[in-house]
Amino acid sequence: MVTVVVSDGVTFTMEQDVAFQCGLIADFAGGGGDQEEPIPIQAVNSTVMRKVIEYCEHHRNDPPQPEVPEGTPLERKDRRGRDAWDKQFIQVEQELLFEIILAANYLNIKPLLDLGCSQVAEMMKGKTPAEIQQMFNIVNGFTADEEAQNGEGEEKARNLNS
Amino acid sequence: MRSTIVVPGKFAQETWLQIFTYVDVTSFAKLRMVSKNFHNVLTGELNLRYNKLLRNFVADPEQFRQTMEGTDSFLGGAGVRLLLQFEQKPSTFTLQLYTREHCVKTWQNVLGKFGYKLLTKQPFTKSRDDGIQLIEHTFVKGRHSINIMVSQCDIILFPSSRFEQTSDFAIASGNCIIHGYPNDLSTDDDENSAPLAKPTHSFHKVEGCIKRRFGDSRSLVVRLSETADNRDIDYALPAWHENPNTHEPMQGFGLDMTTPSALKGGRPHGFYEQITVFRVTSKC
Repeated sequence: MVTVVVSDGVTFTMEQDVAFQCGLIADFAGGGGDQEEPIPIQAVNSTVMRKVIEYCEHHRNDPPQPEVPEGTPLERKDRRGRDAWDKQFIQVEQELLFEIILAANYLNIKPLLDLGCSQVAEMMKGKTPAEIQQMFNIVNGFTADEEAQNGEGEEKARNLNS
Repeated sequence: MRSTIVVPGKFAQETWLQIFTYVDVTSFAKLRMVSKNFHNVLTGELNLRYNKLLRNFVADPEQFRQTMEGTDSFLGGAGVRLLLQFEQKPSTFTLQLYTREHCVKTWQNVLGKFGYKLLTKQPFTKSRDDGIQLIEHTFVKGRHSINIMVSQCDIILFPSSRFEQTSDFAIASGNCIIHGYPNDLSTDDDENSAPLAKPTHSFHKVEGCIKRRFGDSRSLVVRLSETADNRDIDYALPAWHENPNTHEPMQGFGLDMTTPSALKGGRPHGFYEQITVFRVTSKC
């Protein structure tokens, strides 16, 4: 068994095959037997860790993922196992979704990171830049000149498409 | 009350990159308008994707084609159809320009460098008040006869904003697409000139490099970029970089993915990154 302690002091105990889906935990544990001391996971809170464990438990018997080359198109990435359960799993509040992505990145759980990222990409689909800015509370950071250039570019694109 | 999340501050650049790998490349232009951070990340990502694509293509075109088959969204509709082979240098080909009339002169000059002359031109079906029109041009080299069929044109030239339409055209014609249109390719070669000022020079180098590498049966891929310093010159070929010792291209398949303005310390841009692909099949 592997025990971790997260940022808000909650401890979680998992079987190794669940825990070792997190690259970080596997590295900590060194691939060896049971740990005596809980592994500190400071960047993840208990709410997010529960979701992470839920994911890892569901996928504990999955065969190892084949390496997907960088630049593989979305359709092909999606085909490698984003099943109905995954889709349901990732339907969470926006804030939690971002926390899961950050946790997956920190804990080094590639499939979960992929799942979260694809969900964010899905959320951006069909949205205008303004809607995306609003959705994610993004400050655009362009100078006035750059903004004007962007406007020209957009205008040009619209004209050419008309 | 819904909490607000400042995502760019939370996500590392790598995370955004990861997210953007799930974004269709056709959305990149739009997403780059979201923020400066997005703009910078996506510009780099776009270049990386194209570089990877093209490297794979060069390594094994057939395998690449099979791999990419049916994945149009990756390159925005045109997809792998852009990456077609320059199988045989034709004696005649048809060029469709969806552009202003004055650009035709440019292309006459460019193609003249390769030994082609403009034989005929005829307005296509669409024209606009601002002078943009689709014109079919037939260029000829030598004394071969000409058989013009719009649906079988060899090269279609469109600005990038007509990406999907171009793709449709290319599918219909089964031939070639050029994205982007250089307005000023008519200058003479000059070794000492800046790349932006003498884009024709780059064009020649592309041709020469491909000849050296692939002989006469080859693929020719050229990327056009928006110039930074003159909006009226919409596109210019980027500098063509060779290793001065070996005369081999320094990046991938002879593609310079660095925009000229970036090389010259100009402002970052990338809204119009494009790939130009020639596939010219002989009709003789």
